[in-house]
Amino acid sequence: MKPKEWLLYAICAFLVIIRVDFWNWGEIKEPIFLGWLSSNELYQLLIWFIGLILVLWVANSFWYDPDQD
Amino acid sequence: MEQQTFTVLFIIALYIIAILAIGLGAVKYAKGTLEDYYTGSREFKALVLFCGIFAANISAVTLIGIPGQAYHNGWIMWPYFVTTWAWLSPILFYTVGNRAWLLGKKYGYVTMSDVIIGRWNSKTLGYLVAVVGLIYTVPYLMTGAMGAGQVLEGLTQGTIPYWLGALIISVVIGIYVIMGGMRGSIWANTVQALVFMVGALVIFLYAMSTVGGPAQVTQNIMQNNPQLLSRENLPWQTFFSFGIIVALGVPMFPQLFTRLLTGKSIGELKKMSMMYPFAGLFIFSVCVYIGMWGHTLIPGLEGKQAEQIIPLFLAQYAPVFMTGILGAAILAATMSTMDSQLLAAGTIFTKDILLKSSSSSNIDDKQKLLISKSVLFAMVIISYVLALVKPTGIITLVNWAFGGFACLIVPMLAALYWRRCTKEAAIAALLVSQIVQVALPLGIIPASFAMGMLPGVPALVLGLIVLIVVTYITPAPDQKATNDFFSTFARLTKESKTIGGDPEVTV
Repeated sequence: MKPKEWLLYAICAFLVIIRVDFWNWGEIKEPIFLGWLSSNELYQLLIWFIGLILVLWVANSFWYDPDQD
Repeated sequence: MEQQTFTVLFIIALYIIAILAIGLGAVKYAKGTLEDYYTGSREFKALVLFCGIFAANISAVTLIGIPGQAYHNGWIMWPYFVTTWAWLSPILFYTVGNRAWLLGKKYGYVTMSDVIIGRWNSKTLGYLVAVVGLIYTVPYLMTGAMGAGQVLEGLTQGTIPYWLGALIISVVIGIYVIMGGMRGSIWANTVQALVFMVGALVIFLYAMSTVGGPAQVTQNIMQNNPQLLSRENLPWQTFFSFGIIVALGVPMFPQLFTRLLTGKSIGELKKMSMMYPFAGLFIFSVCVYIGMWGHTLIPGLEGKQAEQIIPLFLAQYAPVFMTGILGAAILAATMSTMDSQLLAAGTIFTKDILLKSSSSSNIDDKQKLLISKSVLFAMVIISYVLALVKPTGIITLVNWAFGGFACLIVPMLAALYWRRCTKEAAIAALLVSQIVQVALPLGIIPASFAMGMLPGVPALVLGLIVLIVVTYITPAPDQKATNDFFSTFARLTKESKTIGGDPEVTV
């Protein structure tokens, strides 16, 4: 594997772990966005967003396309 | 027949006719070869490929089961799936898919078993992978037919009885899959994905206006049902372990794995993978908030009753055509998963088991095609009969399917990335992980062993340990065969510096 692949999978593992915000588990937070989403929901949305950035990173610099050689 | 039932039946009939027409429309593009039948000649572009994979992934569970769980557990049910699966699975599409696609293009591989046999030249291991795939896929197919029967019976208020509903859906799927193969299935899935995405959005918007908007309903929930916001009903260990299982399991679903090999080019696969996080966030958040908000409108549902929250909400608060839209959306999600599973199970049974024997080498492509279609026909009948009998033991298998598929990723990654890994290690890892993930829920292994996690996680970890240990106590695989296999990825791994040293050197 290339070094950047090791880095990618390390970030993925980190993200999978910190996705569980157990320090807030069981607590109710007031909605802070549109009177709808709480900081707990926004935190999960942030995890999704970082994951999306990783997907875009993989798409732009990991996939190998033999047709483009 | 009541006006309401007639309207619902009319919308569902329109949907079924459209799906049949599109599925059968694919037949005129068939090339009459086995390769074309199983892979659609590997010519699908990004959007169609995305719909084929996403629709195969999303089942009625998303439109019925998830709102039901959100009714009890609240908003946490969307991150339950979305904050790993929606982004980690597309990354694994690269990890597994890029190399598997290159192998498929070079050697004509179609299934996971093909890759495994190609790597280690072991028919035993190939059969094992095929059997594991079948054990979890065929029961899923049966529950799809059961779900379709129940949905049609429920939405038509018994006008279409359970046995007839399951029969109609099984026959429709059977026709377009048997005649159209992969092309028929993926074309139909493209429309089905559109139907369940738009259907879910329409119902979401209607629910949002009914509850007075997100801000108002959230205040209501804070006062009356705070447990839906606190996440106290879902242990964090379950949340953590399910995230891993679902993300690793999805690329190992046989129906999804094969579809990864049907892209026209890597460029199309790339584009497809970028659509996944958006679609995943959309479909789960929409379904979860409908279920959670539904709690304020229709309180008091217990256990599995909550899975009826959307039909109950629509029946009480929406015009009748909305129930028809829901029916079409649920059937679209159910059928898209069923048809891909039918094709995958048929492909595995025919290609990996029936045609792997040496006596099949004299059979020409046309005869193989006939055998493939006959196997699919038999599987439609078997799944329908099982749906009528409803054997509880087989239904239990479905509950283990995610973990069972996730465990397959250990030997698959070893096949694609680890030169030193031996077939004995892959066999041992596969058997140990499958046994552990079944023995834990059966109580053969004490539940404390899992430390609150779902069985698939300890099974995965044990499988990985066994893989590493057995690899180093067994002789290294044949170097020439290994080099031949890995030569396919030579350009993929070419970079000035690689961790683990020169790719030609065994670790």
